[in-house]
Amino acid sequence: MEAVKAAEPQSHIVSVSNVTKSYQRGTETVEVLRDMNLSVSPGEFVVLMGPSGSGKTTLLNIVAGIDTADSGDVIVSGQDLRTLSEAQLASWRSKTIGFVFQFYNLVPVLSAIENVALPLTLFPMTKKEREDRAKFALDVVGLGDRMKHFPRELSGGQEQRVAIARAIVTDPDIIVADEPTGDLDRASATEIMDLLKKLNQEFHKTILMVSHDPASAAYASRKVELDKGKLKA
Amino acid sequence: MGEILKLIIRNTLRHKLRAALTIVGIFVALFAFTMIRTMVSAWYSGVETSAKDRLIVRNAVSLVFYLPISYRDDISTIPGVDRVGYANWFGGNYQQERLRFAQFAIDPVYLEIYDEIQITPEIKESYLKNRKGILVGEELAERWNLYPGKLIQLDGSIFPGPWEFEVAGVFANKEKNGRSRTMYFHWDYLNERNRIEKWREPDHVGTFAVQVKNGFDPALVAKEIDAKFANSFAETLTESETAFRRGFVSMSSSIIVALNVISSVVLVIMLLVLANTLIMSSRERYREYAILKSIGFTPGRVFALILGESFFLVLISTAFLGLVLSVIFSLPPRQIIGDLVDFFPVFELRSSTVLLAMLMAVVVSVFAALTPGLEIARMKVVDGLRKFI
Repeated sequence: MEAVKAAEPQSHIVSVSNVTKSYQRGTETVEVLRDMNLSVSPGEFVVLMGPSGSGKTTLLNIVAGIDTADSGDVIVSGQDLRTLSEAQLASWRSKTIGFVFQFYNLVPVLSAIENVALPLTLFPMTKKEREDRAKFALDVVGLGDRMKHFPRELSGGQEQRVAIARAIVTDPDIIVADEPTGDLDRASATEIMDLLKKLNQEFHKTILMVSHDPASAAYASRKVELDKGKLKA
Repeated sequence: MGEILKLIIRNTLRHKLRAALTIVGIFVALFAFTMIRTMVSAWYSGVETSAKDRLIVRNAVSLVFYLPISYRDDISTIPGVDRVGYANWFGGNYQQERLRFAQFAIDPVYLEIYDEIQITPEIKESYLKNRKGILVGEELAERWNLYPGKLIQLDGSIFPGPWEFEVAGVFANKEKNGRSRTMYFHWDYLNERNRIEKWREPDHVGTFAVQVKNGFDPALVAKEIDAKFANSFAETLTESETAFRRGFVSMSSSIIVALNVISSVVLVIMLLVLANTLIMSSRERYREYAILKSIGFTPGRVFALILGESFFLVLISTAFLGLVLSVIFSLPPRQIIGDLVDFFPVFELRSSTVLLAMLMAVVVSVFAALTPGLEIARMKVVDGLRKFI
């Protein structure tokens, strides 16, 4: 991270300014984000809402450093993401961002605790330290008794909780969640949202979440609506 | 590191049938490669054990044509020549047509020049006294249950008819070459009948074996020998024993080339088998690799995961290969290659062959991992996340 250029100190943990992003679909250029601006303060729980194709997932991906903007500034946790190489971005993500996906995306050949400990293999720590941290993360999500279970032995809600444990195990500044309840029944969805709320309120994690679900959106401290690549007025 | 190894191993064995078939495929390829290389080495084995201070003199036109025995005295007078012996290839069949072993008619000096033929003074005396006496190598004796005093009959092909012999003794061979499956008998015995039957020109020999004195350059001595018989009715070609034997091997050069080509093809097949498995498994796990990249795995790390799977598959195959080879090569060569052992008397697995096979396995595993590894390493996370397989 030595080569990484630090941005100016600021009060926002996420600062997106005048960002544009377009994709090539065949011969057609599709503008997904147009002159997008978004700021998130530390500890906020922001939900991005909007119809399909409004650009919310693209914005989330750009903030999380897994996609790049065509133009504009993206400063997250004090880091100007445009200045980072792919390897530097990967390293930055491992320390700063926790990911929660709609389809959990656990590694099926690893147990719950092994899945949670996976991001920690990128850090210089002993096996014992990794195990302790992974156990703690699983305890936080209420799955301390399912550590040795493999994903196929868990319900959808439990798998998503393991995924959340994996997202928080490195103690990141920000958790990005893309439709985290999109594949769950209502009861499980409620559990997951309660958990995210807990992480936000008790562990002071900044959460940026994409959701179509108004019930899930109700957990957020701020709702941002997008339409056709722009913030809805 | 332990967790990553665990991930590599479990990913490799995720599709057990596919992994097993790939391992078997690599094993078969490596086994074929090792056996072919062993066969090629066997071809050259005689060359490697040749003595540096021995020369072979033959007719310059072809081995088919003989040289007059009178040349022996002329050769002996050349500076640097210590001793001159001679030999004729006999080419007889014992018991069954297809079971042929080397037989040479030799003079007594030949035994002094080829001191790797180890016999006791008693055996030597017994042999020299018996006109029909023969010396047989240990392996030959064991193979055909030949023992001193046993009478055998060969059917000559170059010198037709039944030939009676009596085993005078069994000799040990201190070099690893085909001599242990060779029979020697008296050139005089051959020549006497040849004089009567006139199958070939009498008092002629196939080759002279020349022992060069210490301190003399064998190459210069060879030149002098050939110069002596230049423009004669039977010019000579003198070469080192190594070159002489290599000449024999080169007669089979097209077979050796074919074997080398096959061994290369086998490696390519192994590469394709492994690459196919890696490509299939990595594409099935496109999303997983995208997730790994999203949580901080660099392109280099995900490439290393795929390379690790490639190594692991090859490692199991190689371990399996080692096990099978150690069992196979603990058997006598005849049990491994049957009667082919008569053509490949030194059929043994060399450490250099094993090392070469291992090196090739590593090289192939790296190449096989290149396509899927680079594809995954270059994959954008967002593209990977969109994949549904």
